[in-house]
Amino acid sequence: MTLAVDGSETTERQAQDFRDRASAVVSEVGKFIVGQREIVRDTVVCLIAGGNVLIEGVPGLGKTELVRTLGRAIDLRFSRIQFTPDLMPADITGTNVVMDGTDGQRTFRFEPGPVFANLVLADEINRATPKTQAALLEAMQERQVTVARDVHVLDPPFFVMATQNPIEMEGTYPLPEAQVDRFMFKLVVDYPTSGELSEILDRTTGAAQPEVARVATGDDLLAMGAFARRVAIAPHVGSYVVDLVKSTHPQDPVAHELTRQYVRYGCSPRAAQSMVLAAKVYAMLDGRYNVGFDDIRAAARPSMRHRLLLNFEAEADGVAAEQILDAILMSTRRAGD
Amino acid sequence: MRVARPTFPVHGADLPAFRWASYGADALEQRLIPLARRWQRHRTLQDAPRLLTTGFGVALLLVLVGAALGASRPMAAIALGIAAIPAFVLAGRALVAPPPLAAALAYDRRLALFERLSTAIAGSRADGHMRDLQRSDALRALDGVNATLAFPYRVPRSDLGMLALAAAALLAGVLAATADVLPRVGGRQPSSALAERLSATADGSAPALVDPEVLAQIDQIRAAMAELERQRDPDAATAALAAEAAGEALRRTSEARRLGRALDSGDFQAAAAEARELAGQLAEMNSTRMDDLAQGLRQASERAAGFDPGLSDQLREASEALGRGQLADARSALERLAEEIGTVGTTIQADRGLEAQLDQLARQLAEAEGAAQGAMPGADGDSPGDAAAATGEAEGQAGAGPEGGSAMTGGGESAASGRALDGTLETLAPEQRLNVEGEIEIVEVKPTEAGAELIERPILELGPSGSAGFEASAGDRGFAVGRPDVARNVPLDMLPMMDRYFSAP
Repeated sequence: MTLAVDGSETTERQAQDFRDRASAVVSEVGKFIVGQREIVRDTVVCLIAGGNVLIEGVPGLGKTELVRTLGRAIDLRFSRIQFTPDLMPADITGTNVVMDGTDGQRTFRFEPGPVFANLVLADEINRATPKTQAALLEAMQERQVTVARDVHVLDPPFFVMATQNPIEMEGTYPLPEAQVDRFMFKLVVDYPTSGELSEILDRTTGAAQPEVARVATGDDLLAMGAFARRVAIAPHVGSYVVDLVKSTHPQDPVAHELTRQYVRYGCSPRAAQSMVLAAKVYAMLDGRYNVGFDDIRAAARPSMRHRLLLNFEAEADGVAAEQILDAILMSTRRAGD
Repeated sequence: MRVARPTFPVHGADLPAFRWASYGADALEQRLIPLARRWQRHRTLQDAPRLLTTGFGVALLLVLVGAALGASRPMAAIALGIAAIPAFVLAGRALVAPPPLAAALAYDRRLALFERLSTAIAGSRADGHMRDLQRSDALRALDGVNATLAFPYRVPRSDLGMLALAAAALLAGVLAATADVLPRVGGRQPSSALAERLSATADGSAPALVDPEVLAQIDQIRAAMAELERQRDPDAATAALAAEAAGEALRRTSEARRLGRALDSGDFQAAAAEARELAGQLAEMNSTRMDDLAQGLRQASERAAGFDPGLSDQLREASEALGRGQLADARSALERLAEEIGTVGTTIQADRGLEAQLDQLARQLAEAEGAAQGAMPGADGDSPGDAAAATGEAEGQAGAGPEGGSAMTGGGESAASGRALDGTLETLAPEQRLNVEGEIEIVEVKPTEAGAELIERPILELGPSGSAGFEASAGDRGFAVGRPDVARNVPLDMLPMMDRYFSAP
């Protein structure tokens, strides 16, 4: 896929190529992952938009398998980091090791860690201590790693796909707010339905194992991301995004009633950026060249649910971020309402 | 004189009405012109009944104030003038051209076009080729727009009912306000059949001493009743049956249970809101949930088909769109269904309101006629309801009725249909009674064998009674709130506890 901006016909061909390639990736992943169509779609959307994904769910729901399959369907350098309580930051970023030279002199040489890949699977990220979790901060936002005052730039594309267990579980450390904010989407994986469970049994306990073909490359993802950014968004749709984010700020005059009652800190501007970028990809996948309100609404929950910091009253009343977001989505007016 | 152009609120900003003639519209906007005008007329028609109803209400208020101040006629004339103002306002509004963006937003929303039109009209920061493609896409979407279906020229039936009600109230108010003037001015005499009948007594010797105001009042009530009867919607009863049938079918599905319950209970506002909520949730539904919803809608459509084809069609369309897996169509169909439910609901509510008013007027008519007849020489009944004394409780003046009815006191209309009987009603045997036609029929009342049988129930283990085996039970004593499954036969010993802890739903 080329990034050249030629005539409208070329752009239309690029759009068709975009849809074909994204569908192929989703289709390949679907060979391994039963059901969870929205999770697969949203994960691919994040990859195209260049964002990091946080996938939450109890163990055994296929979170890791999903990311591994994506790594196989797209020709990317893949690495996996299993987060444990004794994992250290240097285990992620890499470190300087002392090398003996042929002339007898000893020099430091940087040994890159597993973060130096295109697609990094941070498995069970909340099993590690906050200090180790924070080792990914710079890589996720600035696509670089600083070790001993030396800056090492990561090769594009770079994605972090982290899985985490629900924070109520034993032996987990909640992610720092600054790190959570760097995830474009937080996706919540639920238990499969009865039909899906039967399908999982059929696929995984038989002799034949499906093969995953490589249908895209890292360059394709970069080109698709750049192309999606060209999708039109009208001012009134942009205003809707702003209104949604402002509704999560408890001190804002337009804040929702539930926000004032239960939210300590609202969503950052990154939430708005995530929503718009994801909505543009949704629009392209749907065969449109403009963002609609429904695209924004589809992107709102995964973009904002992890960026709402609730207060103690919310915890006491058992109010979840999703409930507040639902109320905000219901009450925020769109142009033409 | 410069007249301020009307404005259209669009997302917090007031856009001025548009002057197409002084604007170089491009191809897209040229195509949008007739659609925008249609939308504006549709909106005007939608709002017309409410605006006119408000005008009539204000006019009625003026009529009442005029009657209280003793200036009925001039105030009635002013009121009629005020009632006409909304009509002029509406006519003017229908001619105003809406701004292109407002019209594009309306069509985007109505036809689920995902803001294609409004983005093309409002513009964006997209590069030239992408903008061209977006506009082409918008034009293609515009090709598929059926404006007649999207914004039909149709006045909401429910609002129309309210308008007719307000018009009738204003008419009655004007008549009532001028009623005290007309007899004095024109020397109006009672002309109704009842007045003629009341103008002579049974022996025809003495003229009736009936207050003309009472007769005029009777005429007004009858006129109002006739008007209300004319306004009743003959389809309302079948629409209620359709809603009930559809609700019963939808209640059995997990996805549309709340919609079904709302329809079944006659809470149409809640039902419309549920349908809209379902439309909003479609994107989050998996295929199983969609199938369940589609099946429920299809069954509801089949159940409602015999009563209300309109509601049935909307249910079927939503079911078919879901079956095809076309989310946009399904969402649009569900929104149309919500609108149809709202329309049906308000039609039924309006009809019920009319029915209640008719009942009230019937009572007033009975009282007025009773008062009129009470003024007649020789009439000593208190009210028409005394005609019910034919059950034998009344006595006196046998043979006073024109057909020699047996025990008629007073003069209710039902007295004339009484059949002469031999003897007195007190002689009726215990197994005899009058049926609803006023005729004697023989009724045998004796218990059947099944009725006399003692039905025995096993006692519950929890019961404090120590008696073993069986004892009589009280059966079905209420329901636990939210736990309908606990309805069961309860031993008599449990009744006080049930009364204390459980309440009827």
